[in-house]
Amino acid sequence: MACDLPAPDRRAGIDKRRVGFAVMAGTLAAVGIALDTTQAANLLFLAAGLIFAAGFGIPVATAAEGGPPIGKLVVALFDREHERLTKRALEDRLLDTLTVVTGDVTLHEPRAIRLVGQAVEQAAARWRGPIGPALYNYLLCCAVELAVQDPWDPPIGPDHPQVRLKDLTRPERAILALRRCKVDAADIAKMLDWPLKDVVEVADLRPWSER
Amino acid sequence: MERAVNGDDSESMHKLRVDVTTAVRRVERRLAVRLVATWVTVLALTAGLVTAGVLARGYIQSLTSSWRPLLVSLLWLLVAIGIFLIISLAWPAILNLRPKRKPPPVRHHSWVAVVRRFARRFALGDSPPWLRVLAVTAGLVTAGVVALSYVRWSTAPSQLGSPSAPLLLVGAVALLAGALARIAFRGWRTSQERHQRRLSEPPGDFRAEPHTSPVEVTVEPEQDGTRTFTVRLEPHPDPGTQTVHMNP
Repeated sequence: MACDLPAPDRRAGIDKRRVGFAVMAGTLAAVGIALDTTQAANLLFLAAGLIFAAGFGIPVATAAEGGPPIGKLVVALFDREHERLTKRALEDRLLDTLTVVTGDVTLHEPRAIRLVGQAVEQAAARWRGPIGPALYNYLLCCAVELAVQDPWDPPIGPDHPQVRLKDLTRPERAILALRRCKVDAADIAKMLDWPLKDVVEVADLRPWSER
Repeated sequence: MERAVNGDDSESMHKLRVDVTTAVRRVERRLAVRLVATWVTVLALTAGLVTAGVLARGYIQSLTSSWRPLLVSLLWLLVAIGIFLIISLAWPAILNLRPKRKPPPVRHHSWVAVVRRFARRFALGDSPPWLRVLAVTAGLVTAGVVALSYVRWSTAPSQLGSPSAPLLLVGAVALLAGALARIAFRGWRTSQERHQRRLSEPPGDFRAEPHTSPVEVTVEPEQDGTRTFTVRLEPHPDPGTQTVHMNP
């Protein structure tokens, strides 16, 4: 299983515009050092410091930490209700996917819910970065990992709604469940650490009427 | 959830929902704390850099030997390079941000036309780029020297020691020379590309027409004594540059 945290990209925030601000700050500081008049020099140093911090330092450091750009942060602060609703909708969808997938892999609802709880705890403790699709993917990966490696096999009767999945291996059940939740084949292969070809080759179960 | 859940499961689901919300909030809080800590570090670093600049200024201003003009000259050179870099970095952005509209037509009496006529008169319009750079830089240096002489004559002796005016001039000249050199290099590269394109183009009397008829070559007699070849071209893998030899 390969549920790795995304490697932080320290250079992600460095672009041409920000480098331009840093160069501008350096130029102003150089003018300040070279000038004779103290008053103008102090003003130039102040301007250089402000330009460096606001134009280069803070945006680059924020991007390196995985935080949103300052503009988006301000918008989110002013529109908290919309932000909360969007997040809530995302969480609901994620929770649904998590329980469906772990339920199909373990074939036992209460066990699946417990595993999802463990996955949430695990992901929240390890995650370093912004709240977004990457976190939700990581959470899903943790849940699938726990469900696939769970050693407990529940006894299943012939009238169990998921009895068709009993003959499949746990990774195969995970593939079918993730596919049902519209997860990309490449993402499934990455989560299960399987070759993409093998993931694609796992056949879907036919409905009972076609059997 | 599509599956029917009993009361216990429903309670567990609610607990799970609360767990997810709490976990997300915890991650958010941790990110906010880390961001604030990073910003404080950045501000402290900036304050340190500004202090270093102030100290460097104090040190340079306190120097009395010949090191001072040298260091100040180097600083002005750095300033010139910085301005040049900013212009270079911002130029594409400036070009992209401008609304795309047709350039106004150059009228006979407009200043653009006057400058063009002036350049043509002094053989600068068709001259090679290096000559243009040299001419403009020489003009700027001459203007600077004249301006400097005027400043020296007209100011009091106590103000003559101020190195700002000549150094500013040196910086401006270096900046303009660099910019002109860049323009010249671009012009040279464009002319090279144009030259290469012209070489790779087919000659003017070579004509290709698409036809849907079967592959055939026809020769039609013309009254002017020349022959016209009509050839059907078909798509094929690119074999690279081919040379066509025409025998009389």
